[in-house]
Amino acid sequence: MDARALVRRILAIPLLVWVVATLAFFLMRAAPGGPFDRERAPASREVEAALKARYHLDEPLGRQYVRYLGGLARGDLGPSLKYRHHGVNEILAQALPVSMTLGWLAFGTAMGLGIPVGAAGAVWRGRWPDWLGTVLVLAGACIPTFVLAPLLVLGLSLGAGWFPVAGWGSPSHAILPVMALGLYFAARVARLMREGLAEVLRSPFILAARAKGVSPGGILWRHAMRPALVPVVSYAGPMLADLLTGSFVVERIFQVPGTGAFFTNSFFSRDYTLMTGLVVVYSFLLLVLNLATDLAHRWLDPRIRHA
Amino acid sequence: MPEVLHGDVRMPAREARRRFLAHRPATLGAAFLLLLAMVLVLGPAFHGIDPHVHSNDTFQPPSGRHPFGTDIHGRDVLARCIGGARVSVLAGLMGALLSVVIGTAYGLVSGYAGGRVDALLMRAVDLLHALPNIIFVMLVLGTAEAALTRMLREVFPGLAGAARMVLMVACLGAISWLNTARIVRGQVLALRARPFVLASRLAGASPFFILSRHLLPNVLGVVLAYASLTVPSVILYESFLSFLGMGIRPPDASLGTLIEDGARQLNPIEVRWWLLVFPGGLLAWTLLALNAVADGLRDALDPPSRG
Repeated sequence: MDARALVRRILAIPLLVWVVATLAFFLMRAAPGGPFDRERAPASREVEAALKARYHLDEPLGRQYVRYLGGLARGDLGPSLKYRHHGVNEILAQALPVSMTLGWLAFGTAMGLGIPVGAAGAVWRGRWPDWLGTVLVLAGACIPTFVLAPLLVLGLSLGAGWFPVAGWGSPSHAILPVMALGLYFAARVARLMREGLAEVLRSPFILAARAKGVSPGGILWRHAMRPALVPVVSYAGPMLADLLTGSFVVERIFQVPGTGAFFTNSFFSRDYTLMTGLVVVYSFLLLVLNLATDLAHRWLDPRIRHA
Repeated sequence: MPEVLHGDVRMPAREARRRFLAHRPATLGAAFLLLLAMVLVLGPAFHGIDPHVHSNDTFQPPSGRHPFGTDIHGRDVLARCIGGARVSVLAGLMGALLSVVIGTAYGLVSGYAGGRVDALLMRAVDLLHALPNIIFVMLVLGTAEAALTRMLREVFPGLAGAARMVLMVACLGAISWLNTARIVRGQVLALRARPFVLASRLAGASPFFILSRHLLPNVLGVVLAYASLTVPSVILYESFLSFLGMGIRPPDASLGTLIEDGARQLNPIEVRWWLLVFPGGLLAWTLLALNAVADGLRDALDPPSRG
C-alpha cells in the first residue's frame, strides 16, 4: 500500500461511517412504534407532543436526518431518548470503557492461549500438544458463548463456589466472563496459528535455513514465527473490534454494565439516537481496526510490502 | 466396454465418496446427523408428549417419564428440545440454501464478467464485509416483521404465523453469502481461462449457457463444501438471536430460546442443570457433527485447498 492508497483508505472511513449511520437512522425510524410509547404515566397527547418537539421528532424526517448528521460531524451523538438526562456520548463514555476492559482481557486470553497452543500443535504434529489443541479448537467451535457462559456459572460459581455468579468491579468478577468470551476466539486463533505455522514450516526457505545449519529454535523464532502470524493478524483486527464493542451475550449473563445491554434495550425501546450512536461507534472501530490490520500485514509479510 | 478403457476412466464422484468415507470424524458426524434427523422426524411420534402442554410437575429433574426433566411450566424438556432442534436445523438448512444460491450466482457473474464489473462487485462484497451485519439483521427483524406478517396473511395465510422465522432465515441467508461468492468467483476466474470455455464461446454459446452448463457444474463441488460450513454458522446465528430474544419468540422455541430459559433459571438456591445442559449439549453436538461433516466434504470435494 503506497501513501496514496493509505490516504484513500483513511478517507473512506468517514464515508463508510456515513453509509452505516444513514442505514441505521432510517431503519430505526421505519420500525413500528416510537420512543415514547412506553411512558410511565399514560402520556397525554400534549405531553407526547411536547416530548417530540423537544427532541425535534416532530420535524420532517429529512430535516431530522440533516440535524443528526450535523451533530455527528461535530462528534455529538445527540440526547438519549430513553435515558432522558443523559446524552449518548455520556452513556458511551460510561459503558464503553467497561466493555473495552472486558474486551482487552478476552483479546489477551485469546492470543495468549491460542498462539502457543496452535504453535505447539504445528511443531509437535500428531502428538499430545496437537491433541490438546484439537480439543480446544473443537470446543471453541462447537460450544457457543451463550452455552459456555451459563455452564461456567453452573460449574465454577454455583457448583464449586470459586467465583461470583455475576457483577463487575473486582478481578474475581472478571475471570468467568473473560474465559467465556476468550475461549471461542482462542480456538479460532489456535486453528489459524496451527495451519499457518505448519504451512510455513513446509516451505523451501525453512529447508534452506535448516541446510544452512540454523538451530531448530532459531528456525522457529527467527524465521517461521513472523510469516506464520499473518493469518492470525488478519483475524485479530475484526476480532478486536468485536470484543471491544462489548458482547451481548456475556455482558448479559454476567450482568456486566457495558454497551451490550444498551444495544438490545435501545432497540426494543426505540431509542433512535442511542442505537444509531452504538452502531456508528462499532462500525468506526471495525473500520479503523481493519486498516490497522492491513498495516500490520505489511510489516509481517515482506511479500505484501514489495508487491 | 473394453477393460482397458474401464480402468482409465476417472470417476471424480466415486473418488470423492471414497475420500469422504476415509475421513473418520466426518463419517461419525454423518452418522450422528442421520440419527438426529430420524429423531427430529419421528421423535414426537415415539415420545408422545406435546412440548406445549403445561402441567403441575414443574422443575422435575430427569426421570423415566421425563428423560430430560421438566421446565417452569411443567413442560417436558425432551419434547421441547426435539421441537427446538427442528426449528434450529430447519432455519440452518434454509438459510444456508439461500446464502449458497445468492453467493454462487454472484460469484459466477462476477468471475465471468471480469474487468470493471468484477472489481465493482467485489468492492461491494468488501464493503458489506466491513458492516456490522448481525446488527442490521436485528434492525430489519424489528422493522419488517409486522409488514411481512400482513403481507403473508394475504398471500400465503398458512405461513403468516411463521413470518418471523421466514424473515430471520431470509436475513441470515442474506448476510452469509459473502465467502461463498468470493470462493466461487476465484474458481470461475481460473476456469474461464480454460480451453473448453473458449471452445464453447467460439461455438456461439451465450454467456448464460456457459455459466449454467459449463461453469456451474464445475464449481458445484466447492459450493457444496462451503454450503456445509454455512449450515452450522446459520444455526449458530439463529440460536444467538433467539437467545437474545430477537429470534424465535415464545411459545415457539428454538435451541437458543431453550438455552435462554435454562440460563435464566440459574440461581444459587436451586440448581436446575437439566434446563441448560440438555439443550446446550444438543446444540454443541449438532454443531460438532456438522463441522466434522463439512471438514470431510472439503477434503473430499476440494482436495487442493489442503496443503
